[in-house]
Amino acid sequence: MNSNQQLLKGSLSVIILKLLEEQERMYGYEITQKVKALTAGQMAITEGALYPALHKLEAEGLLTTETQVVEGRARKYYSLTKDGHTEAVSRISELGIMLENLQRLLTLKPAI
Amino acid sequence: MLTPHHLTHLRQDFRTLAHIEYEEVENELLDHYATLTEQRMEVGQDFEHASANAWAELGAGPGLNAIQRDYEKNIRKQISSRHLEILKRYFRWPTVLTTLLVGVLVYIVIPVLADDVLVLILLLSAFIQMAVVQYCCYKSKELAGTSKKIIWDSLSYRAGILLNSAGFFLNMRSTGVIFGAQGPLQINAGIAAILCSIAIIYSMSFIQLYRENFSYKVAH
Repeated sequence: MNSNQQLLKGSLSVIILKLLEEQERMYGYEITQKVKALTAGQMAITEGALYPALHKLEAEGLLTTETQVVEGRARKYYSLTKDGHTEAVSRISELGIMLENLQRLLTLKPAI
Repeated sequence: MLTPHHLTHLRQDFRTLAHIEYEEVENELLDHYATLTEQRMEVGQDFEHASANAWAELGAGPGLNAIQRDYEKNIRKQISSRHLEILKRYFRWPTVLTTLLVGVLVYIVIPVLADDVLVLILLLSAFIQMAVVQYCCYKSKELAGTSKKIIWDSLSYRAGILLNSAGFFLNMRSTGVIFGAQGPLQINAGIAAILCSIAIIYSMSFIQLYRENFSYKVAH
């Protein structure tokens, strides 16, 4: 696993919550494609990481699902619950603060 | 768009190559697999090549099986924490009063019972809680097929531990390995009372899970 993917794995739940905040409902494949498109292919979510993360968020009560038959197969759509919306705001804000701090640390100039 | 025959072919891959046995997991992954296959067919690949490439991208057998194991673990964890939550309620105020009263009643009644009756009651209470699990899971039509199997297995395992403990205790008692049938009455009665009380609490908790339709989600 490269460092990019390690970073992605750590923030996967926040990415999912953010995407679902922007778009009312999404299915697994759609989420992987959206991340790829938004990062111009720099980041890719593997199915092995995505589905466990989705199931975990669903178990935590942050996501709700509905299944629709599309082109002869069942498609499971995920959307945010009321708690999910609140949690999304909180987790996005936490990650934002962490990234700001990280940015400060990475741009730290050595003392003369 | 894939034909029903193509979809059956893809479904077979899950069952034979990745040993996916849960319908919910299979349906969700099938949609992903089918979409990846369609995407490749759109750029000119035939179905065989497109599905083979899509399969590799999905993580092939081991990768997909890991998703299934995680799904299983997730449901087990949720039902376990919900069950524990229900059990804890019996020890919270004011329910703890009822629990204590039942416990004291069992402790008072058991020593006055004849030895054969004590064995019978202990075995019966241990069997009843196991029977409650089996009956509740069987009757619960709300549960989706595969989740039901995971929940059933998980709760049966818990009920089985108590059943085995009762059996172990009676076995030790009859063979006199720890304390014989003629051993200290208080110890025998004490252990039997504890096992009976746990069996009663377990039976009640399984009934409550059934009444909640095994809605094991942490939050709703």
